[in-house]
Amino acid sequence: MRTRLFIAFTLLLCALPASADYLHELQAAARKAGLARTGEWLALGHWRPNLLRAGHTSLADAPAFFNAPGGKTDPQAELDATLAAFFVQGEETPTWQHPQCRFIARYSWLKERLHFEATRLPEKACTRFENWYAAIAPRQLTLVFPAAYMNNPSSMFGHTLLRVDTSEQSDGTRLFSYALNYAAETNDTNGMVFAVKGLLGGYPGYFTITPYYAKVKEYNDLENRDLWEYELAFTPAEIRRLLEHAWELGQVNFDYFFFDENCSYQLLALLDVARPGHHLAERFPAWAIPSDTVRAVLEEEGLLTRVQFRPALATRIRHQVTVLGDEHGALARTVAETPERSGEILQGMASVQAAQVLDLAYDYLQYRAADEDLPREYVAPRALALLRARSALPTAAAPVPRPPAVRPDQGHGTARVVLGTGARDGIGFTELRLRPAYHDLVDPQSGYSEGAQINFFDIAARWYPGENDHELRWFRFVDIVSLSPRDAFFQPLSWRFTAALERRAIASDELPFSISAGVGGAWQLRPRLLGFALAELDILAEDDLPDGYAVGAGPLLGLYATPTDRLTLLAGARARRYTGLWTHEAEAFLQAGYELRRDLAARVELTSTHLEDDQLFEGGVSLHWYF
Amino acid sequence: MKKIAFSALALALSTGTAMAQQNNVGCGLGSMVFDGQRGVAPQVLAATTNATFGNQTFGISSGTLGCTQDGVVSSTAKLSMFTGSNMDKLAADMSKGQGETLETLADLMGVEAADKATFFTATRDNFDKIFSSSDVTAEQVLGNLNDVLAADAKLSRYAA
Repeated sequence: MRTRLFIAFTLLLCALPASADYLHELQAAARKAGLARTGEWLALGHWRPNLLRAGHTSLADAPAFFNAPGGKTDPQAELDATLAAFFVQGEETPTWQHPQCRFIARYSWLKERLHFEATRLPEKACTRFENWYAAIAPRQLTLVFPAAYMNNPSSMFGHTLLRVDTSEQSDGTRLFSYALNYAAETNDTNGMVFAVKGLLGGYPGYFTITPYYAKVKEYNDLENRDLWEYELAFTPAEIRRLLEHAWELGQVNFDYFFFDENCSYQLLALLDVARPGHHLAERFPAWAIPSDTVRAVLEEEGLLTRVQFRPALATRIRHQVTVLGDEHGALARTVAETPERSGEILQGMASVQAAQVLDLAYDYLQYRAADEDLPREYVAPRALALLRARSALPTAAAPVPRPPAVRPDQGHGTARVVLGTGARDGIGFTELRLRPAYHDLVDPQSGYSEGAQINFFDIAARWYPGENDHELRWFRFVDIVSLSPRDAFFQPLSWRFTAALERRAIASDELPFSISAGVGGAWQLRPRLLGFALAELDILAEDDLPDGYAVGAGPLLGLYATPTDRLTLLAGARARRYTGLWTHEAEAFLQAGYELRRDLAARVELTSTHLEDDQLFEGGVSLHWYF
Repeated sequence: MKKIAFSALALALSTGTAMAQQNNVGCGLGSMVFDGQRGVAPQVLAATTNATFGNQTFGISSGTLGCTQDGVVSSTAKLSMFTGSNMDKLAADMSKGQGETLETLADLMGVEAADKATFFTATRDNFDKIFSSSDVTAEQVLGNLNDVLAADAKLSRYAA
């Protein structure tokens, strides 16, 4: 007994210096090979080059993500410390992971590059990771993009997540897979606090893995966003690497920034680990708009294998109404309200049609339940009655909407440069406009939600060669329009909101700060033609105004049309009476855009402004380049 | 403003016909989701809404929490969690005897391809039995389905 202990003790003593030797050997080899400077290592630690000084800083904000005290800013020290951690004694327990498992992507990569000798660096069993990996059973990666939701242009900024398709899943059972999702974690329910903190990175962002059906419910059914599923051709080794890295990120938080370090940016960082040399994340240093990141991913030749479209609940309802016609649509609404009368209402109808009416009634009831927050006592009995009636009818597939001809990733780029020329009040000008993001109503419509506009930081400068003068014409911080048609099934409000520094005739062409908003309705007058009417409020603040400010109010009537896929037309007339100035302004405008190529459009803009007795006319033509 | 949509989610779970009592199915969908933000003001204020409310049920490498292990659903809870989270769609699919949610359920129950058509038809023909009331729980739905399968000569081998 004593001898055995003695032997064990000597073994332990001997083991330590031997492993220390091997550690030094590995650290020296890693330095010699310059591993800490490779793209792979920098991607694994989420290090980015510093903007102003030399060196790197990691975006990860959790100290536990680093083995070295200064690991956040020192990739070399972190590599040394990571190698040292791999030699730590001990086996995995339910609450403790060995560093080889905790940092399993780093371990796999360093093992491959430095050819670890198992006799000198014993490999630990990572049971928790292997169980997790086996449960996910990855086969394929799919990038999922939820499109904008009805009447919510800000959702055009969108979201992306990554679905890990399992080897057990078939086309019919995609719900079954897992979704890797990166999101800010918050308990704030105040929209203003949320927006400001989100912009400033005030929330921690985490990666989670959720059954895909939960995400489908969230986006498709509750938020009414169509889902685009882009199946990607990553190799099994790349998928393994991505999941190993996701495992490392499980308990790590990043500061979540809405514009740059957001969901889409972090997914790119994850894909960069899967396929080193991609450097996708680097391409979005300032902001990462989800649809732009989708475009960047798909640029890689041969990466996209297939696209699937998953229409939202509201999209399915609209389509069923189109197929069934208004008359049966009206019946469906009645049946949804009073399912106990369905037998009498549907009497004499062909059973296939009756089935479709019941299907529509059920979907509409589901939509209303979420949209109007209807009480369960109202919804549940009606839903059950509808389905009971339905189960007595023969099976007939509900009509499924076809995907739009142009996918979101095929739409125009979201940044825009405009070069134009025109005349204002008879004085010629040349104009340059810059807009970092995103889409306005007259931009080419393909790939975008109809009737939704969201512009950020649109800036316009003009030169008047004849006058040898130049001016800032406007700086629109945010400019949102949402036109959603009202019909028997949906009654959304249409609205607009603009916050800007903008030259205005009513303010003697000075540059007041203005907040302008409107609310009203839109109606589908004919296919491809919307009419809208909004009540508008306009608040101006400028020192030269009589009281330093003015408030105007009045109606806006307009038409929005897309007669062909390339042509967009916006026309309208508004009148406003201003307090403070006790004057009024009337304006009529027409804008026509024509898509020349995917990323190039031409535009004509005409505006006529009446101010008391003055009339002011402005017209211009311009070229719009998207990238 | 941003409605915490737990109520909406619970409603969506329930509107199908039954409230998926989380305790009854053992594992509820612990994740809270964001509401659709349909109001005007919240949209202007919140440029993006990619946030989840504090919950680490699906945290990767987070250990064992409820019916998830390191974020993935434990194999014993897969069926009940899927059913509880998809009651409304499952009910709709069963009433038609077709659909993606029903197809996925069949896969989770190990129904072989050759028996799927029979399985689908059986759920439609026995819809009243499976969704016996508007207060039925996911556990009851699975129990009722089991009874239906047990009584069917061809499908009885899928009954527990």
